[in-house]
Amino acid sequence: MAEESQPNPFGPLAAQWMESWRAMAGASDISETWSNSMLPFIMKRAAERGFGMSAGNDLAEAIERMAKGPRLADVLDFDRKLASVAAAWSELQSKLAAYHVVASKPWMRAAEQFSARPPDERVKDAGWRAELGAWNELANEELIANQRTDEFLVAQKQLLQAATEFRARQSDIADTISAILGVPTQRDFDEVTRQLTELRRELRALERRVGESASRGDA
Amino acid sequence: MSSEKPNWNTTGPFAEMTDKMLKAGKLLSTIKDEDVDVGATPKTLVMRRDKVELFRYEPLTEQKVNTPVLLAYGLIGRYTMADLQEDRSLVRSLLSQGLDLWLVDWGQPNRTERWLTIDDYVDDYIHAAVERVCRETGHDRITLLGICEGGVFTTCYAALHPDKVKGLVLTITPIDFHADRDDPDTHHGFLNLWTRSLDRADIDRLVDTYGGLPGEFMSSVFSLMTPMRSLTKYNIDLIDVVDDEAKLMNFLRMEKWLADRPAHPGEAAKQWLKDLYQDNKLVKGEFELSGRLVDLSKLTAPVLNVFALNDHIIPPTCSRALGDHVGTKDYSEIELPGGHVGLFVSSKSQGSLSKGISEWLAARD
Repeated sequence: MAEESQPNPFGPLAAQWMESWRAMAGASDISETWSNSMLPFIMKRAAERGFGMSAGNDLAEAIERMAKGPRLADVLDFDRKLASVAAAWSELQSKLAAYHVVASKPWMRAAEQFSARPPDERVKDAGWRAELGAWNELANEELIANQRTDEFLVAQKQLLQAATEFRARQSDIADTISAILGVPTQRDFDEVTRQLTELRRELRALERRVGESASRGDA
Repeated sequence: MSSEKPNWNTTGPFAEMTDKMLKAGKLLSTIKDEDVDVGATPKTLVMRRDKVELFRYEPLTEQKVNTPVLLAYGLIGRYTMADLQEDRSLVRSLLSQGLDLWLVDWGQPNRTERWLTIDDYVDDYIHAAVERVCRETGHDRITLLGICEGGVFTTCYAALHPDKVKGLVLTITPIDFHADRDDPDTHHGFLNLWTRSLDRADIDRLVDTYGGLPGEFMSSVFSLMTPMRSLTKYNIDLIDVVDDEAKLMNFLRMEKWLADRPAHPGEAAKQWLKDLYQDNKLVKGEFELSGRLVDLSKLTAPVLNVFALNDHIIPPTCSRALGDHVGTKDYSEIELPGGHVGLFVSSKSQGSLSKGISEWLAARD
């Protein structure tokens, strides 16, 4: 029977470090630094081994951990991942703002051109639909021209990169929760479907070879 | 303060718009999903392979062209564009011309199909469908009718399996993915430009993260190509058609087709975007499927290439390029007015598209 675990004196200390990091993260983009550094990884590894203070009864502790679920090591790792999502969210907002700046330029150009048109060209007397049609045509040309500029293409690419990164880090959180709860993760699912797809290919290639062999009358 | 005041009276443009919006809301609340039927031409399921289904359409008239025709759409959007409604259906028009028409439907791919490649679609699903059609009809070879990305799949199949293909009909199919540079119309080819602007790692990361190319994402890229049209669709355009039941139902069927956009299978999406859109491997003779290079000069079956002159998604120059690469001398083109989708759903192009295809097929039956 496993011995009852003793309270780890380094647990509260690690929690204090975490709080300090969290406080700093609120004031600057240090959350990104935290996420990208090796510190959370090492802290997780160290916490798993009781910061070198455990009695060496690894098997018993592992069994106990599996039964109890989340503990300090998991919480530390999860916290790191949450900080990582927050950093990705911040980056996404920044790229979104940059994109909106580029995307708004053709609207301003179209508005300037439209208002500068002489009244007869603005088909004012033809009614609001005709005027709207003229505006749509002008704005459409400006928007399409803008989309073909390097500035727009770079802004939308960076937005796509940031959005994908944010989604990837969200998925990482979901996978962490799934792992803690003992539920298959997205990665597990992808691995199963990969194996299934490859197995199906092999089976069908074999079927074809057998069919061709039979049609040739091979023994 | 200005002395001019908006016209809030019960007459005038504002009142008219308000009245129409109320009417639209009331009408839309009475129309049910099943009332907006797309892809409704009767057909029979003949084979199922994973999520892929092979159908045979019920004949509408006496068969006049003996060789069966297998229709293959792409993985971006669904085949229902070719069968949107009774009076705007390439499928019905071809059946009315006496064709024996079959359909390979890719179903609704999702993350489960993440690892499927174009190799699987060409050398497994299409090949299995062709063999089944041959077995059911007693033919050795059949005609393939590819639409958009489905046209690329059928082109590859015809080049890799020439003994199974009697004729190849392509519609709005990109072959030279860099030929948008030869199209002077700035409304054309944004998809080519946009894809080339991405880093290869971006495409990998996008597909790996989502497990495929999300349909919603591709919809937003398509919306960018016609920006003002996308912005006025649910206000001005909808209000314009609300008085006319037939036009409203057209609008709703088109919306239903647009919304039915499954995810593009992941590994196939990487090939589509990187190997074809970015590297243009098909016309370079470098596109490899199942360990074999797709050599367009091996396209020895007669080819009919149909494209739309105002196609903003697949510039006509990208389609027309096929003529320089095929091995057959029996190569024909039909240029039609209209756009990528309009070719199939506009009342103007209905007759000319199906008539052009069926006459070409009948002459080679």
